[in-house]
Amino acid sequence: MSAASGGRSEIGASLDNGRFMNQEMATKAVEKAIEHGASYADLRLVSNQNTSISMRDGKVRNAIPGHDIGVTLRCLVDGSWGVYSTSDVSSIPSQVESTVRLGRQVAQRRASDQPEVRLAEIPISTKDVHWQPKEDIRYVDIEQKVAVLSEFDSLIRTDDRIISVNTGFSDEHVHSELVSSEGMDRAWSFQRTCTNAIVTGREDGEVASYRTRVGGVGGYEAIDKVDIQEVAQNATRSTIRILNAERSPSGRMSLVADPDLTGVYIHEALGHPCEADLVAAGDSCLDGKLGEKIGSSMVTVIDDPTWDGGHGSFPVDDEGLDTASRTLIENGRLLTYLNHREGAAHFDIEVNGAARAQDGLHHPLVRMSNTMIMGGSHQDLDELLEDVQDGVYACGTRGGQVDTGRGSFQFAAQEAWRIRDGELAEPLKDVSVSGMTLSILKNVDGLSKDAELASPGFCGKGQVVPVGDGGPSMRIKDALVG
Amino acid sequence: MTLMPEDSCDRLLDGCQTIAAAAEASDATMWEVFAIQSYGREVEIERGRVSLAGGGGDGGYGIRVLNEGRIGFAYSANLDGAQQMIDEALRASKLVPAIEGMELPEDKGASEVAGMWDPAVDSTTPEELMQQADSLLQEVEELDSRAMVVGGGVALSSHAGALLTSQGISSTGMVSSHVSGIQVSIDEDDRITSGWSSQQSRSLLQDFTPMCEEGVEWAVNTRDTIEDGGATIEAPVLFTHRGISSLFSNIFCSALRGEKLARKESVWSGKEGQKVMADHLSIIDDGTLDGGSGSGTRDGEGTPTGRNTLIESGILRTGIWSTRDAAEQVEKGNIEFAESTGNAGRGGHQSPPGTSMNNLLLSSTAKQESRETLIEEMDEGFVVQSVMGAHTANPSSGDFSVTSSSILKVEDGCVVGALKQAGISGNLPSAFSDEVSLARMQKANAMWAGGSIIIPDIMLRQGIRVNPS
Repeated sequence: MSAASGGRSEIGASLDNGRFMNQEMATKAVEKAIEHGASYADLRLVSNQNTSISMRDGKVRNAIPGHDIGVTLRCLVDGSWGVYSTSDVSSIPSQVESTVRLGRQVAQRRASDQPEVRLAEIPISTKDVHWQPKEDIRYVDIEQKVAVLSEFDSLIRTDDRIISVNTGFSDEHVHSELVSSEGMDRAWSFQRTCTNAIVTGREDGEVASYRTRVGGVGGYEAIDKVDIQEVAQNATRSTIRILNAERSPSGRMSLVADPDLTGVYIHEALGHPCEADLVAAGDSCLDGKLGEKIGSSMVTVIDDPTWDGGHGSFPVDDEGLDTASRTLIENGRLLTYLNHREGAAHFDIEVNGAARAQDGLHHPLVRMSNTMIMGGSHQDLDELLEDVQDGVYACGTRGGQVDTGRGSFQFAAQEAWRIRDGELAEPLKDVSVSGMTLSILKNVDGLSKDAELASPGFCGKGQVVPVGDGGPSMRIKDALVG
Repeated sequence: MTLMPEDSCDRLLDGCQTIAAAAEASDATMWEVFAIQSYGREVEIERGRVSLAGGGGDGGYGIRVLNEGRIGFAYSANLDGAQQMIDEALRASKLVPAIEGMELPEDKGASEVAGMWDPAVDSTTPEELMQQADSLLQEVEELDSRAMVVGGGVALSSHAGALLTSQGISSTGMVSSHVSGIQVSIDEDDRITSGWSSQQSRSLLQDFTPMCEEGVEWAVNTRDTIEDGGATIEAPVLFTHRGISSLFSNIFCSALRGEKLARKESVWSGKEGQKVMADHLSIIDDGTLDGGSGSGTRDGEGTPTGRNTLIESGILRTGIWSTRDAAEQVEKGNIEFAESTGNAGRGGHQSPPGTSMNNLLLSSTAKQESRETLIEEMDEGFVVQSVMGAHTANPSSGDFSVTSSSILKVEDGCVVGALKQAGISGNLPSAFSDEVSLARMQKANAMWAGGSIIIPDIMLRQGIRVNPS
């Protein structure tokens, strides 16, 4: 029942036999779509039970328990999509016909030389998948969650120069259901737990801030296993260091990135241009480059939604396909695009389960999960640094952005050091790096052995989804540092 | 068929009253029930064609309780959860320290803001929306046969809202919105160039031509790239209103929050009454602007909106406040007196009100020229239409380092070509304190960049470094 409408929900109001949607009603809805002329229809519901706590300087500002439900009906009609999304689950049966009509109206606009939407075949499953947390966040008292945040806060505020600490705790139990006209009828669930801090320091008129976030897919154990003290001490140390750091140099030079920044680089510079929906839309610099060598031979990139504890992990994609790791680039060669059923059919490649929607109120797009560059042959960071006469070592991320069509990108580091004669020298602040995907992938000239998943992140592409990324320490020659 | 049922406001208010009755019977000393219902239609464009049409709705209730100075909040999508919502809000309030002097706003009466609802938006059919998409696709093609709209679309929405509080506020209202955005690309000679444009209105958009022209213009004029030496130089930069909007929003909207100023987290903390910008510049936040994207009769907690001068002739006068931030900072002794400026914003029913800008306007008492005249006067410098990475700017210091692939080089007062890519860095507050010129305000200057901001093209003559790729 929506805020402005009356009546009780017919399709679903509560968890019944493990489902929120009344399966009979959901099946009737997609069958009705077919009767009205759709070639395919699916109905996807997402229930999100969550807690959000924010604390400032050790005092709780908000502690909000929430439960959101959204449902999206997709109808493929004459090769075009009509979509209806709502939090009013009961309205779906009455919207089937009009949603089919929308798809038909879109199809009527398609010129004869424009391709119809086709869907790659996938296994039809009725198997439910529930990733069981070790410590279910739904049964952890909110007071316990507040306590961990209080501890985190007090561990950070250990220096008089720290003037403000904003901490946050968020958890969610994500439960999805999908019923399709092809017979797909399954539910899947998982949990995600994170805590974060924004630390602000001030000294002699200079103000600096540092952000940190830990956690990932899992129950309360995703936080419990983290050494909060170490994370807090690092945040304090880094904030103070940035306060006294020098401004970034500007120009072309060698860049060594830590695993966190390497992850953001590969997410922005390669991951987005590799998304099949952007490639198909004519908005990717990787269009037409499948099978080509686009980077240095030492570059191998994977995207893995099954990575244990990754922030971007999920068991089943939003078209009902079981997830698995996929290799995007192997030794510099572009093997495939990240795709959903539509993207896979468009490029006639194997479907790889990258359909993700922000929630039940959005339709799925092609999205990354946990994206990583694999480790290389350099022993460690020191070995990467030793060949650099003049450059920058940059760590952590303040975010990034990409223009997938032009192939240009930009990302910013949290903190950095100048590299002089193979050694770390003075600390730097406000360092950003930009470049062109296709040239800079060829300029990677060193990777350390150990690749790791770095800080949890979020990715915006009209819709916001949690992602993970990482890699080894990476050296790029001739990067544009600003 | 209209998007919003005629009786939506009444139904929302009825729902609020149901929750309010339960709140009245609880331990809450004060309460505030908020309800919203939204419906929308959208048409997406991909690779030169309409690719998807959709619609839908969302809505729910949020309740904020005040229990002896302690604030609690909870929400629900429907009335079935009313009692549970109040119990959760009260439980949450026990975790939150009391704020001395915190009270929910009293009803002070409020004047209607014109231009917030257009029935023509609400009654636009899916077919008519698709025809709008058709027309802008055709218009782009006619402007330049090489140009294609690779992404974007047209969308409209109607929102009904209600607010009912223990302090006597009972308010309902409806707003409409019509938005369009396009990314235009030219893919020729193995190279893609792009231009982005958008427009938005509370009333039905009638003319997509300026948006199409802007998108095509930048896809075209960034094709003729010139080689540059690559050395970093400090030079005058003319940011178009679109080019500066995200940096302006990320840095100045944060710096002007009263709470940030009081907590010494703003780049302008401790500078109230002092010069922080060039003396011909003023910044006003206006929640009463007719048809403004951030306008409203009342803010998210019922305080009447107003027109507040934040920076006057370069002098910092005040920041923006919500009731909670004001009470909290006064209690902590960070500021002697503060009260709500009508800037409590809501992101929906799922979150309590926070402090946010309404419509931020930048103005100048100096002579304002056209963009073309400013370029002529610039002599040597750059014109920037869009930047990447504005969200990585440091709002505490005002430092930024961004990248642009929509940047033109100016020599002898004329555009001589585009740079393929360039890094742009500097300190925005410093640059605005120095030699700065504003172009004349255009109708299309109202933008949404993390909030509603209305700014013209801006030429910054000092303190901006450009590093051609």
